[in-house]
Amino acid sequence: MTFEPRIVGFLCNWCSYSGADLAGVSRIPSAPNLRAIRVMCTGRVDPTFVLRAFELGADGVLISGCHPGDCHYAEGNYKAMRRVALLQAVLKGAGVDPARLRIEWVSASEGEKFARVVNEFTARVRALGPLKAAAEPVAAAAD
Amino acid sequence: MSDAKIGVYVCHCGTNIAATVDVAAVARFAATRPRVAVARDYKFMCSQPGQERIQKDIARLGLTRVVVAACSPQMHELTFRTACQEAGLNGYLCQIANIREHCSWIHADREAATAKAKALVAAAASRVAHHVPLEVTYAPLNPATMIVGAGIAGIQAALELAETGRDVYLVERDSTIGGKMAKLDKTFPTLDCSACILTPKMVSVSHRKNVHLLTLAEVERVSGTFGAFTVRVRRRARYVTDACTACGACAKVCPVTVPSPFDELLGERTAIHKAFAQAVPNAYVIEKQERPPCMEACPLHQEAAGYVALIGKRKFKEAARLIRQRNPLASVCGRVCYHPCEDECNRGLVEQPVAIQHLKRFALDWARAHGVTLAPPPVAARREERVAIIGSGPAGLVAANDLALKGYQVTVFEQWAQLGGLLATGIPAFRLPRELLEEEIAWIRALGVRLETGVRFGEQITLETLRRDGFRAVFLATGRRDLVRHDLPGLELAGVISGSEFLRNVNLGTDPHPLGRVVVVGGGTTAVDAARAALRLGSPVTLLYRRTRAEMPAMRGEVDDAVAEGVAVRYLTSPVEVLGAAGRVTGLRCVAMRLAGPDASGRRRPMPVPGSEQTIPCDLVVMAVSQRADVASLVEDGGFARTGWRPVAADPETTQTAQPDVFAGGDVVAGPSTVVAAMGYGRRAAEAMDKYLSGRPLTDFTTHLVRPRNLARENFRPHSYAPRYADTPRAPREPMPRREARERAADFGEVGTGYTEEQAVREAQRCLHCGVCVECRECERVCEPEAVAHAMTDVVEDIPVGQVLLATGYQLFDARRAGQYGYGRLPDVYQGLEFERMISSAGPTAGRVLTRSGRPPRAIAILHCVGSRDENYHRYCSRVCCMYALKFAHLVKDRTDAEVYQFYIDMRAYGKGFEEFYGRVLEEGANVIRGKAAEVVAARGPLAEYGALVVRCEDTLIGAFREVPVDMVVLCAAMEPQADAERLKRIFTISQSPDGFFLERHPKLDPTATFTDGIYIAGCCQGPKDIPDTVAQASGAAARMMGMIARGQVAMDPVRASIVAERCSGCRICNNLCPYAAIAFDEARRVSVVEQALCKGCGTCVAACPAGAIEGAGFTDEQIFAELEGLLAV
Amino acid sequence: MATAARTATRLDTAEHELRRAFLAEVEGIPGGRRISRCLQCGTCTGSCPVSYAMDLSPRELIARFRAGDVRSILASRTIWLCASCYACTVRCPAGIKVTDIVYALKRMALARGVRPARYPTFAVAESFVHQVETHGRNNEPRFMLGFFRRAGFRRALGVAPMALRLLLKGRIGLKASRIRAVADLRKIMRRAARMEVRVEHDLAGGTAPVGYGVVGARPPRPMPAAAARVPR
Repeated sequence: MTFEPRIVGFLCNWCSYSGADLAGVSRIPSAPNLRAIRVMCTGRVDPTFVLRAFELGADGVLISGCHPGDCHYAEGNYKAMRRVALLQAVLKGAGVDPARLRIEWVSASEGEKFARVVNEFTARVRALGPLKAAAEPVAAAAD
Repeated sequence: MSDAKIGVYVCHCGTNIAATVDVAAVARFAATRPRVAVARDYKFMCSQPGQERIQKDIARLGLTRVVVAACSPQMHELTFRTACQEAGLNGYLCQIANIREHCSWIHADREAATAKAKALVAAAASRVAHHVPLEVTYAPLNPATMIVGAGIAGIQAALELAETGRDVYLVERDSTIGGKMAKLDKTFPTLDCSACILTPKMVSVSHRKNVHLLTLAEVERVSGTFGAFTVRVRRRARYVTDACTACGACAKVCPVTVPSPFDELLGERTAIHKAFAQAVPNAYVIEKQERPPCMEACPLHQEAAGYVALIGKRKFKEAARLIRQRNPLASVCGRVCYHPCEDECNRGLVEQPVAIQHLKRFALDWARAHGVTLAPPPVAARREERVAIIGSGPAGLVAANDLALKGYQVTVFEQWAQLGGLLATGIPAFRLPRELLEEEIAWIRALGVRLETGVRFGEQITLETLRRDGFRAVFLATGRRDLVRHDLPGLELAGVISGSEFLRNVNLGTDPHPLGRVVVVGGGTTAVDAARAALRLGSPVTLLYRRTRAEMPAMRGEVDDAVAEGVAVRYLTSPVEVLGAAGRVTGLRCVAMRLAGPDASGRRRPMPVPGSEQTIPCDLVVMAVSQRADVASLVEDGGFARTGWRPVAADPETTQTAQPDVFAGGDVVAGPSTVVAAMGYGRRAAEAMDKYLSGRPLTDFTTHLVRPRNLARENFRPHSYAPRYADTPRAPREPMPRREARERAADFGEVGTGYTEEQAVREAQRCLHCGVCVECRECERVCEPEAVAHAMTDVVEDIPVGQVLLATGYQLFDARRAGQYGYGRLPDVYQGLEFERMISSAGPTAGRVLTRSGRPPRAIAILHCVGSRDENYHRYCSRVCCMYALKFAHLVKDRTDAEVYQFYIDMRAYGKGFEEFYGRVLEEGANVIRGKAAEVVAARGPLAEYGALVVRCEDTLIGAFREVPVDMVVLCAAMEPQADAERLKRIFTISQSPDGFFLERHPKLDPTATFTDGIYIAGCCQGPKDIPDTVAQASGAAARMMGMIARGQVAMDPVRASIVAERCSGCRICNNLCPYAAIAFDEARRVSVVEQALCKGCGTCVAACPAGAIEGAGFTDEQIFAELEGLLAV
Repeated sequence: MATAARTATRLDTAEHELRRAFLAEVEGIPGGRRISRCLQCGTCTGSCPVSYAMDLSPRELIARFRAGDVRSILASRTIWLCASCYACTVRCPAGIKVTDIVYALKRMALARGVRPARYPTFAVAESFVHQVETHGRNNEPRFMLGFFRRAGFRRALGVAPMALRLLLKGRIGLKASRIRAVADLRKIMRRAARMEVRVEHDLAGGTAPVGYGVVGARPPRPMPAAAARVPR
């Protein structure tokens, strides 16, 4: 029974979510491992979301937004880029391979790219193997 | 939240979802999730019965939350929200799970897709439990609209929107509206004349009172939101006011012609022009690119390029007039100026700079010789203030001229008996004839200036006396005078004199006795002048310079002249001691030098060669090395600060000194400089003093101060239409005719005799007209309504509108990128728009089809798909090319005897009347060859008899390689997005599709809206299309916009951030994060506050707040954590 | 150029095998799948400097493959005439690597021993390669002899006078010279042969058939059972 990773995706509404929709409309096949959460902008992605996702059993997290310079809200994707860079360092320190977190830029017209990213990332995470959770998942998010 | 009752509805979407996802299983799974009261699956949830099912469940089961697992929320979120709302449940209590675009449509494995769908549904169910009701608020919609781009799309939309009676702003980058359609001759398939159907619309749009045409305008910035945008528009200067009647008198006198962009560079037009005959607005425009470097370099901002252009057209009188308007000492400059203009002249990048100075001299000499009176500019209304100018050198004279023209009562005080400063005392007559200087000083006197000689500042007059006598302002322009101050033994002997004192004596005529043998020490202009003057007084002259010829500061021509006249020059020689007997000079001991490493100025330092000393016997030693201002009187009197080399301190921008009514400029402030630089100071001082006396602040000067900078050197061409400097044909500079050397060395007559008319015209025609308009002012002169305004500047406006339509059109693929077709390399290869201009009866050939050699072509080839349907350039099909190619074929057959060969891959004749047109063209005898042309080459061998060019292809229908000889090739170049599409997309926050055209919201159902509310697109900026489709889209977009105007308000998305004050620690990290500056800091309460109207809901601040004090409505942390839990529950 | 002959309405076994082999070669060329995008525009032929001498134009090669006639392609002179100038590849609007495909066909022809009738260009390639493998360099006289052996000694008669003159003047010699380390060169060549470009990794899985469907190109599908689920 080969291991099939579970990947959580945070897609920004304007670019990447639409790009993913376009991939769907164009019927471009991709791996079924990615499960998407819609946010208005990648700038909304709090690092705790990513950590929680890993904690809950995700093997990989993909954050996908507008291309730098094209953010619908001007600069949100730059903030996301910074946070991911820092977060990857934190993950590494915590013993989690930073390659399990990936940030990508997919525009609303890049359906093909979205499918390709999903397939590549899925293959990568599959190769990394399952992420063993440190503890049992917490029941509810504490404030 | 814990009491939430969730209804889950899983849609089959026919077979779209159900074929891959086991919807029934998903519904069953959903029913097991916490708080799910009911879970159903149904074929089409978005249908009437589907929605009613939800509504019934809300009513009967008391559902408080709804989950719909179906297509993308971007499709039907609104549908289901509305359905809930109508059933009495707040729409934001409904969550969509996307199991179609993100699941069933992209996965083939049924098991995996179903598992994923379950996860997505579980996520939605967990999330929605944490939703709270949100209310949509409404904001008023500004009924004004803006349309960017005034081609046929923009014009059509403007006409439609104008019907609302509201303001419509039509912004166009060009000087006229009309776009590309104005360039077309006939349009397919009806062969309507393009201008005939377009111009009535253009006129109509200009007559609508509520349509505001902003031409030469571009959008710089957009702020605000849907319904309340503020668009910053820059309206570039037209340099022609609304008074223009379009009579065309200006274009007749404009000396500069450039290729016409409207005619696709095939025809020409003048710098002042109207784009085409039916331009709207019906007014002229002046094209000014980079300012000509010669004018920028001149401290007086003299229109050098202007008068040179006029001379080139034999308008000598106008040239002299133009010079005189701005320069009171023009003849002086024409003789002795250091010509910074020539140093910056771009012609110097080709071979040598234009001889601007000689041309200036020529114009004024010609005017004098032909008795042309050059009237001074009009004097302004008389003012009572008295102004004193100390020093009648160039700085003082120009200041006097300018102030007198402004109406002031000016008195110039000069210490010597001669007026003119160094112009009179320092420059010998063989370079500047005395009568010219006197003539120009008389001119200034005629303006009402009083000139008093023999009055020395510090003795007869002081600042106190001047103020007491009612002088409200004083300009110190006392220049420089050198005092001999070297550490050379023997300088106190009689017979040693400074260079400037020597020249002064010569010019004033004092001390005329024979000089004996003269040695001049120095390498500057003063030294060379002194040497040549001494020569003319009959003395043998030796000039010593301590470095080599290459380092001499004197102008090269001067040194050559001196040598030709007989001055003996010794380089690398420096004096060490003046030898004398009985108190008089007998000789000069000097030593040979050699050049060592560089000194502080960067020049190589001369070092004496030991043991090389020798004595030069002489009677007069003229020391012309370095100078210093005559500061003695100034220091005692005014207590002016000394600033090292510059003895009088004055503000370099305003020329004002520490005493507000005293100004200073010229060499006394700047140190030894040039005549024209001093004149520049005088001009600036006059402006400053005028402002001071009028009580205005000393800012915003319009006079010119040259800053040291690299002017226009980094460009490759003088203006965008000109060939590169490297490709410009060479023409040598006209030499200035001079009197024979021996002959001229005998007297003080002028050395150069001046250009002849032919020489002047030839030399002037070397000018490259940098920047296109050269400000010759001819247009201004002949314009009766006085509509020309060269000083016009750009205007930046912020315009509030509610919605914006982008109709920016297309540009044509640059066929130079596909070099195999020979465009830009072989003659007679044209692209589509160029050929349109050729066949247009108003075009450069009046509608005749002619090759470059002027002959009608025997055969024409039309090549389809250049730059389109091509992996190497654009993958898309450009849609209109097949039809306009057929149109060309028809027109060529109609008007000429030429054969037509059409090279196509597929013939796309899809529209109404298109196929019929195709048949008609076939009947007319066009040769259609199915085979894309592979290359175009110059014809050689036997084929050359039939045509100048050969098109190679494979005729795929017969399977044979063919070479077709023709005389002309027309390339159907693809439509591509405008070059600034990327910039516009950023400004308006819209997207581009992969081909670069603007992205529509939905390619089928919503082609004129974008993903940004309030911004619409129409026409070719959305994708290639023909005129009927463009007009339809424009009308469609306008209809959408009018619908919004009718509604009058905009729904404000409740997805916004708000700060919980109790949790806010006042760290202010969020304040700088918001790109919309929507977060302010409340100083009183020491917390941050989000301004709801400005917040766009991106959520960046929510994620950044370290205290978790910011709530992002609709996307709270709780909701997302819950979604994660659900997502990973499967 | 081809006469309006009747082409097969179904592929026979041999054609099936050739088609399969050709597709395998195409897979080995990066971007080889673009061959399915051919517009039949003819730019390749129009750009080809030697197309005038070809019996099938480069464009026709792809057309014939699509029509299920790889056999005539392999027997054509075209694949041997390619001068590798790459003008076709550079200009092809569909981005097809025409030159590489022609070389793939050449390999197939070599592997199957198919030669164009009375057109010995193949012999040049074979003789040259043999020389390089044996001596590490091209020995012109031996190369020519090898050519005539493969192409027929009758051809030698035409050049014999010139060959004799060259021999007498010492411009050619019959002794073969060899590079010092032929064994190393052979090692390099064998290693290069092993480093063939891998097929593009298709992560989504699944293979799309290249080229248009020809009747008989795929085995026929069985009729679906009644009341089966509606096909996608």
